[in-house]
Amino acid sequence: MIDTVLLTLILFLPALGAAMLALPFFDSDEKSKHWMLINTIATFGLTLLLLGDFLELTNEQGFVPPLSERALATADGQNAPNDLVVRVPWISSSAFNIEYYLGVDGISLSLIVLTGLISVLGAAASFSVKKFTRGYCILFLLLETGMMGVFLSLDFFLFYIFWEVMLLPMYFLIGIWGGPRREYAAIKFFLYTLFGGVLMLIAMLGFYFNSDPNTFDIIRLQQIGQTTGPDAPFSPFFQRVMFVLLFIGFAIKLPAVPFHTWLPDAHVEAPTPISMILAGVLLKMGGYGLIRIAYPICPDGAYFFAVPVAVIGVVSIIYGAFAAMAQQDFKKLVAYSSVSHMGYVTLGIAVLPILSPVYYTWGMAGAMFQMIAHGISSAGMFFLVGVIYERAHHRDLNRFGGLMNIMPVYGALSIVIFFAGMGLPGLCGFPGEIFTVLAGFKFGAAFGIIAAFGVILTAGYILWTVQRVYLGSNKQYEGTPDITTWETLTVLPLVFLSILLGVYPDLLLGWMAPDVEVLVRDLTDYGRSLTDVVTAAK
Amino acid sequence: MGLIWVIATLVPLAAFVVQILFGSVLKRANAYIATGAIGFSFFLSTMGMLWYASFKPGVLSPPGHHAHHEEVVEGAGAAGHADHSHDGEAGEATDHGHEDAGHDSEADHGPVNPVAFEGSISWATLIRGEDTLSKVLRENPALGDLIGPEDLREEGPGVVSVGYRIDNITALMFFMVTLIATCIHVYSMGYMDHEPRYGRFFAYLSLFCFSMLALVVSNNFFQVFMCWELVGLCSYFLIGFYYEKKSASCAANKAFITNRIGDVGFIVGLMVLFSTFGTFSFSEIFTPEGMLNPELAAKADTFWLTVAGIGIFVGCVGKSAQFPLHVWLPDAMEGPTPVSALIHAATMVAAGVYLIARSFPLFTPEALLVITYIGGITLFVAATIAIVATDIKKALAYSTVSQLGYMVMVLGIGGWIAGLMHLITHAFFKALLFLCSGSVIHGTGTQEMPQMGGLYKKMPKTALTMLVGVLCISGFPLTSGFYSKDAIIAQVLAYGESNPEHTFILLLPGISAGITAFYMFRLWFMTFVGTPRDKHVHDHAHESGDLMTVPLVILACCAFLAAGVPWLGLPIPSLESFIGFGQPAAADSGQFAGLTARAHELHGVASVVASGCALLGTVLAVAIYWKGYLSPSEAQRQFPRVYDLLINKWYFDEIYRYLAVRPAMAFGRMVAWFDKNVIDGALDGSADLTVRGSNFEGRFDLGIVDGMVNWIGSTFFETGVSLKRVQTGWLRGYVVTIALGAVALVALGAFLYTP
Repeated sequence: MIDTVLLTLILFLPALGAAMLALPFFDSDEKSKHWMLINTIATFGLTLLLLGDFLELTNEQGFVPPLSERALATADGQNAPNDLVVRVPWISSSAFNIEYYLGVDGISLSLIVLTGLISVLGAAASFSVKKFTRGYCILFLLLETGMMGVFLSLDFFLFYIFWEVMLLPMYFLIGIWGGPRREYAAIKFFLYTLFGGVLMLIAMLGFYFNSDPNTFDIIRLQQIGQTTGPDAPFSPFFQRVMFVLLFIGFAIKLPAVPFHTWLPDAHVEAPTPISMILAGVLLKMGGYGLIRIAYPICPDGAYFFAVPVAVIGVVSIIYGAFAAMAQQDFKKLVAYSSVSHMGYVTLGIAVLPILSPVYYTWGMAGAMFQMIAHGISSAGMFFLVGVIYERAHHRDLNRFGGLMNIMPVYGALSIVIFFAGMGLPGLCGFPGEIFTVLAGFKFGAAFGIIAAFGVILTAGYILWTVQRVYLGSNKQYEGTPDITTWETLTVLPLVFLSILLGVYPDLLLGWMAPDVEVLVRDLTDYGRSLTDVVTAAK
Repeated sequence: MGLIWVIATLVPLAAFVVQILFGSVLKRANAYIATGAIGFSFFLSTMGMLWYASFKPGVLSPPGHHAHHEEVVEGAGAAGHADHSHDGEAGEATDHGHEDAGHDSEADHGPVNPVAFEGSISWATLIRGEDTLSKVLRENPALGDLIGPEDLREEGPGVVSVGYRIDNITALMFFMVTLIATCIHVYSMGYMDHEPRYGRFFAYLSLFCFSMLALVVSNNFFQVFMCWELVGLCSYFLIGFYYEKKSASCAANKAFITNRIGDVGFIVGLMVLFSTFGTFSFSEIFTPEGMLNPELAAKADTFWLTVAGIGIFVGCVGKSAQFPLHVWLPDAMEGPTPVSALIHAATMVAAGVYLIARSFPLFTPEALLVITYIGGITLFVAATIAIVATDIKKALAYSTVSQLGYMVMVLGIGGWIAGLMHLITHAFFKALLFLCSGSVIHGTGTQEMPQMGGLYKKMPKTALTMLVGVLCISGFPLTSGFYSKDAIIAQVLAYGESNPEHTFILLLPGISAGITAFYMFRLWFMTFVGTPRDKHVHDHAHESGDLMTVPLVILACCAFLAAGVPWLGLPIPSLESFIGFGQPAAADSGQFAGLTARAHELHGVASVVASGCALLGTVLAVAIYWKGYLSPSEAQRQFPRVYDLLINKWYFDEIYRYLAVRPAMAFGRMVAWFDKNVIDGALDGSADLTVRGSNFEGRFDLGIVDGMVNWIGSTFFETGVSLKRVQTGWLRGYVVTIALGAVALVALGAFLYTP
């Protein structure tokens, strides 16, 4: 019972907060902002509580029962008191069978905690917002509910609703509070995501009508998708078509080349906190969608399209890095670096035909780690770009220089975050990158080697940026005030986590890897039933 | 008891953390913390060295005996002997005398296991072992038989660990690094005295010391790679220490990026190890006596083994500044001189050589040939550039590149002991030479040798200690450099005997030994003797303070004595025998069988050759730069092409600029253009088409739809107006309405569909 309350609170507390902002009490901008911050902090606290509860589920064998086990136990009516799964019939269980169905495992939980954290920091970074503050706060909190919903939902219909719910506040947040070309960017973002959403909708309905009994239950759909044999409900052809639809839908969000062009525009125009959310959380929905929906429900498609998907991953890595190198706009550079970094995620997920659960875990766990690490480092990078933009009122890389001496604290924090983005050992960007690259090599030597070359390009554009912005000397910005305490407090958790996760990745892997392993074993077991895949692997 | 090294490694890290967190409070006290930390590490490593010797007394036995591995390897077989070596048991080496009595009348230690202590902890756990979650296979064991071979099931690495592994090389490297680093810390307190970022300098040094020590104690390739990058990071920070200067930040970038190119090779090596061996651990990949683990070797074909070897070697090429990635090291001289001495001469750049030695059994003959040739080319090319360098530090930098080339090359031809010996002796005398040059720079304010001259009287301590360094590097008898270079030449001769087809590359070490002596004496003469060429510089020149000269004297003693005093019949362990204790069997079997013994026999010839070449170079330098019998400018005029080639450093920078840097930038711009015009162009085009289509369609139902829209619009507007009365702003209400309305509509819609 208590888990029902907890999960529901995490999901709706921000929305509740948004609704309360409509009260006349919040008549000043300050009150609204503080309320938003308090609300996000409370939600973040709840996510940490959830993490604690999750770890308490650890059984005597030393692991938390897999999500599917817990979810199905709930379905059979043996509702364990605290299994972190919530199932309530929502829309007529006899006809549509749509449920209010939430649940967490290590994979979604890590993203939920990340969402909670980035929302707090985003809210803190929002204190410089000046126009229509109350509306901003309302949308911001609605956005958080949408994001939480995506990561919590285990019902595809619910997932889809939250996916779209998240879209709308984002549209307004970019379109109203954005930069000069905000309308173009907002519409582009909206249409791109909507297009992806439509593909997902088709796939969702496809699954629904091909399952018997018709269901939106993601866990159930995973089982159906992984059923092998001639009378499997989802035929290989069906799986492949659905996989393509889902993959494009999620690849847009990820974003993978060539579905990425909304990202640079959206980032450049979005206000700083929204960029943080966008890079820190929204991109992860794409990866999460692949991991939770596309791959487990359509494993046949995943095997069939493994090579093209891996190619997309590798191309994203290299393409994003090259594009980043050519940018003059600081924010655009960071945006393209996101494309490059998320390429590792695509690559890591794609390599399942190696068929060895041990090796594939490196790809999948690497992809998950990379998502969390990128959420930390890219949110930090966008924040730091915002800090300097507020002072210099431009983002032209060639006009900066010498900030290390002018703003020493800012410089030092930036170095950590940027080097984390570069994937330096000891910082959070490294494990995910190296794990996925290693797995990529196991899949195909060329994938690993080309992806490894991304390491040089990344070093190239990051170091060049650091040189142009922080090093050297510059009279123009002398006297620019250093990063304020409030700003330092905003970015410090990210700096701290960058170091912590880099030095001790087991901290995150400890509760994430077991669930990754479950998924990986399911997928590789399925692959081994496909004779052509096994033959190819030999 | 391996903990002693773990603590010694972590102390500088702790010092770094303290310095970086409290740097603003501590200010200049950072120097004491950093120096104290590394000094303590040095103390611990000295204790560790003794500890190691007490566990492995064989390491202290008289020289010249460990080297006879060949009969052992040919005979009973490596595995049989491995059984006799017990980890961490004192006195095991002495037992071998009885076991191997038939082979050698004197005490023969045979294939001993030099590893005394090992331990590790998990850093990243990806797979938690069978009993956790291999549910499917547990429940359906039949599935495994159904789907395929056993090897598709439960194989591969599940954990990345960090750990330590102490053998004689680790103990020795650790000792060398901490000793030199301690000297350089003390020296820096004098040298960096007037720097504004004094505290931060020491923080970086501490971080470097930690990374370097962690690299040396590593028990697996993955940890080596992580530390590899970390030392590179410290190098980046310290090269770019004077980051206000554009040249410094460019040099830092160049160093880091060039190193990353090498690191891609290293990653490729890791990838091959990962996917074919499924482990990064030294003790799993190598057998105790130093061969490639036959079980694992059976899994890999020669091609991938060669790729792994060359990949790891490419990493070493980057870090040890070998051709063709050597270009960063001379530029790295932009950093403060103590950094050049510590990182870019003695320790970090030697890490590449260390790694080649460490992974020696992994290299296939093909990979070793690549190593030999790269080393050979490097040692010659760099030596020739050093002849014409006028910047005292750059001359030393090219000399470093050249000397590293010696080590790499000799490792390639199986001279495992010779390579590591030269690593250690070079570390001491090159650190000394750099610190001396730093003292000169400190005293004169210039790095250009044409502005120096006649400084001997002004700075005698520096001049004399530097002369010791020059004698060492030139290989004068009784100096450490003599022994290590002699070992190299002997190995080259021995290898040349059996491999005459590589004669060309084998000539280079001899020739370059002469060149080395020439440019080093040139450097010393140009700096310290003759008439002062720049009066202003000369007038202001002064000897450095004690903080700087005392480390010079200590290092001069170490540099002179580093190789010990072998062949005098004294019962003192020489450097050669200490290193030779851990020589991997791979360096004395297969194509290298008997080579070590042959090299021993050739020592006499080798010392004549090496000293002869060095003498020739010295005489030439005396004739030109001291006595002035010949004019260097005359030589320049005589060979303008050669001079141009050398003064432009063989045009490597230009070649790279036009072949790599600019094309990469241009490609980047092309990608950005493609992104903006092709992908987005197609998108915007299709959007435009859609709009036109809608407009066309729109004309048909203009009246009906418009009417409806207007009606809805006005209704909403009125709602908005009413909201405005309640609220403070129209747009805010609008936003709230839209956002909440959307949520409500979706939810409501869903409910309404319920039958």
